[in-house]
Amino acid sequence: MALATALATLDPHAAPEALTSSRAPYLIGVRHHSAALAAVMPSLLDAFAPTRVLIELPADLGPWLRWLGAPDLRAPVALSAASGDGVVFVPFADFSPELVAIRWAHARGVPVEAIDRPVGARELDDADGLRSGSLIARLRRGEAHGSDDLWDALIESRAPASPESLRRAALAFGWLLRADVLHGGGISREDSAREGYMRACVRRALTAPGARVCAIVGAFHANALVEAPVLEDAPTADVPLIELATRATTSDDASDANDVTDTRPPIGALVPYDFELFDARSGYPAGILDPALAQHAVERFSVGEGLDAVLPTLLVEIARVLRERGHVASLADVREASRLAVDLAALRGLQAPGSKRSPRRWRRASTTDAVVSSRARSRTCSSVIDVVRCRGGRRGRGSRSRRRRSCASSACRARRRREGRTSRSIRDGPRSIGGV
Amino acid sequence: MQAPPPEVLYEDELRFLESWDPGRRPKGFRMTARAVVTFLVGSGGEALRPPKGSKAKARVIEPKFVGDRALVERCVVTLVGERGLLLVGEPGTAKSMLSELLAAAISGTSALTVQGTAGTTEDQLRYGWNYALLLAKGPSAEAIVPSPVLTAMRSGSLARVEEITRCLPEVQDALVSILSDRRLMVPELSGRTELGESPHVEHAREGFNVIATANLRDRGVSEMSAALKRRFNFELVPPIADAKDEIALVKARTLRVLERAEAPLEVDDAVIEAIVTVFRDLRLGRTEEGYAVDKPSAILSTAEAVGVASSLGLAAAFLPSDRELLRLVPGYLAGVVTKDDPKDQARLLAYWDGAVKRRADAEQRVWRTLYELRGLLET
Repeated sequence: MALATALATLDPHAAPEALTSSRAPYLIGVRHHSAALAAVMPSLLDAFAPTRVLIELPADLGPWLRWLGAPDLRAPVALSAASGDGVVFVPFADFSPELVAIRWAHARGVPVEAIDRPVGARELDDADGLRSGSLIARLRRGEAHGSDDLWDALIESRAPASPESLRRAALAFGWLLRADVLHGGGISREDSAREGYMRACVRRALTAPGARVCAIVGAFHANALVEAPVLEDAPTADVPLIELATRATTSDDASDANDVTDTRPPIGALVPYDFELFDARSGYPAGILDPALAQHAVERFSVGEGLDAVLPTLLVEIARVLRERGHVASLADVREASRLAVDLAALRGLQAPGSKRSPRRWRRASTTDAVVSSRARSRTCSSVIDVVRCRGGRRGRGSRSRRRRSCASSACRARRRREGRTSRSIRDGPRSIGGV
Repeated sequence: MQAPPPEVLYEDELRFLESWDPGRRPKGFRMTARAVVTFLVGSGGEALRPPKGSKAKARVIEPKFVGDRALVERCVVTLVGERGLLLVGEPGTAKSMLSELLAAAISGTSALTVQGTAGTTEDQLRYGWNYALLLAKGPSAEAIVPSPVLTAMRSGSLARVEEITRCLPEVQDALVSILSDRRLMVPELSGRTELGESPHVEHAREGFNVIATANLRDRGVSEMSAALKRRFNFELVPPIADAKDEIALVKARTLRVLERAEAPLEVDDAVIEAIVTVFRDLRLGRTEEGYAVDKPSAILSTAEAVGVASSLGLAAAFLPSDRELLRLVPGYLAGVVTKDDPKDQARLLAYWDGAVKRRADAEQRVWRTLYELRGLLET
């Protein structure tokens, strides 16, 4: 109740302001796959010029960062690691802000550190099922993927915009979700443990003289890393940090003290990955919708163009695939679909009278509606849209390992549990799309 | 008036909405696109405030079309563009009602309609002749009897063509050039000038467009040519997805029918719910509890459910008896289901022996009574 009143009386700008103005560390709150943030990441890092970059990646996967930063790596790839209880996959694509940051740091010789709780750490469960916040529950009732659509509307649709405004928006969004969860039932044990570990790593990095530390974490966790978290107690930062120098042998009391089941670095590999597997519908809990579209988006945003520039390419590609499958899809259809998409976005975007938002932003849903209306065969359309927007025909190039069993990383598992999603096998396949 | 058109029924709402949104209107529209969507799907219970300076009071707009908002938005946006709108779907899914409401909101009239039948001729889509005047004075502009489509072109309104696929393909194709070029040639009125023959062309004014409807499932349907298909945006109007919405709709419509007949509503909520549940189970091929059901081939649309419920209400009002109203339900259901295929009666009986029996065993009063009346289905 005290928290509820505190939340109710808190100045709405206080928390985002505290997060944005923090310089020790400098915070960039992200969604793990976000075209808008990936496009502005280099500018943000150039502006702050950090001496050390900290990434939300399990600490025992740290040695792999230099392979991720290699200039000849072609995304999408996934870092996979075998630990005590299974295989963990951490996917990266050109539209993942973390990968962009790793590449930036690698090009300039800035050290990068992985600061999330190790893969080998014991998994923590909450005593009772955690109630997610009311906002998330309401979002999930209305739209299939809960907070993702809200992120799209508030942050992705602003691009291209000034890097600082996107960073501010992302941190505010992270605070919004965090406040909602705090109000709902509190942070889960696993998240607290991870944040404690991350905070300890940040404190350690800050002790170096003249250090300028930049922390790139999921926006939800940003509040735990500031000097004085808003409305919360800081998680305990005296957590023992594992040393990864050698593959030391374990001893029983060592594992109890460190809360780590296996101090040896996990066996890992960098594997090529598919866009399909980035899609939330494939069962990946941190997935986004339409990864191939996100790829196009990040390419456009990086040169300062808006998402409008993608619309013709996308529609022409859909028409081409339809023709390959033997259906009629002419230039007139593409033109009509394009007009319909833009007008639908205008109709849906200008909700409040007198709003000054430009009607040039359009969303995923408008294109689906537009394409399906202008072509009568909806089932073919849905599968073609799926092909063009999700798969995109691109495959990454990484290392030689071939292990591909489906399992989510611990970070994603925590997020999934927080949002109350049930697990789904990656082989489920995409749900049908389209308004029809 | 037995069935007042929407522009008469909702006259003050339409006038309110025209002044409510001061935004930009598409050419030829009487109100903005957003106002049209609000007219159709309602304002969500909130009272809309009129713009400053207007003396009108705030109003709540009731939803008139129960369905997906995105569908309505796509329809409105299609009508702004260069293509016509073609609403397809099963019979009884409110396609005609949707097209009427769109025409009333956008053009202020839903009267410019051509009913497509196998006997529809090209005259009804283009123009005809007043033969007396034609013979008396020869071809002249006054001797032309414009079709609803030509009237719509001249006034910049929406033309509606109902059941377009029932027209013969040659007749349907009269619309192809109207939709693509937005002009109609009248060769009989061509004149002779110094430069040679000048053809008489009727141009469409801004705001002209065509809304067509087509049933998917019908025996007398002609195939649409690819050229004509290309000039329409197709929208599938699905049956109502949510059971509660459908029950509310059936109740509201039944109430309206009974009000017009000046008969007080006597049909119990539970009876309406039972009727709608039977319809939905047979339509979807699956009961509410999840058991599979053999679907009859007859169309069990919401409109049929409204018909059954209204008939029950009217029977209760005009033919009162001591017997419970529920006794009439199996008779009506049998009539609705066994329209085409004689095998449908067996399917209905199988449904009765399966789902209805299970619900009766679970001690639900209405279903127990319905199960006991199984005998009435077998006649």
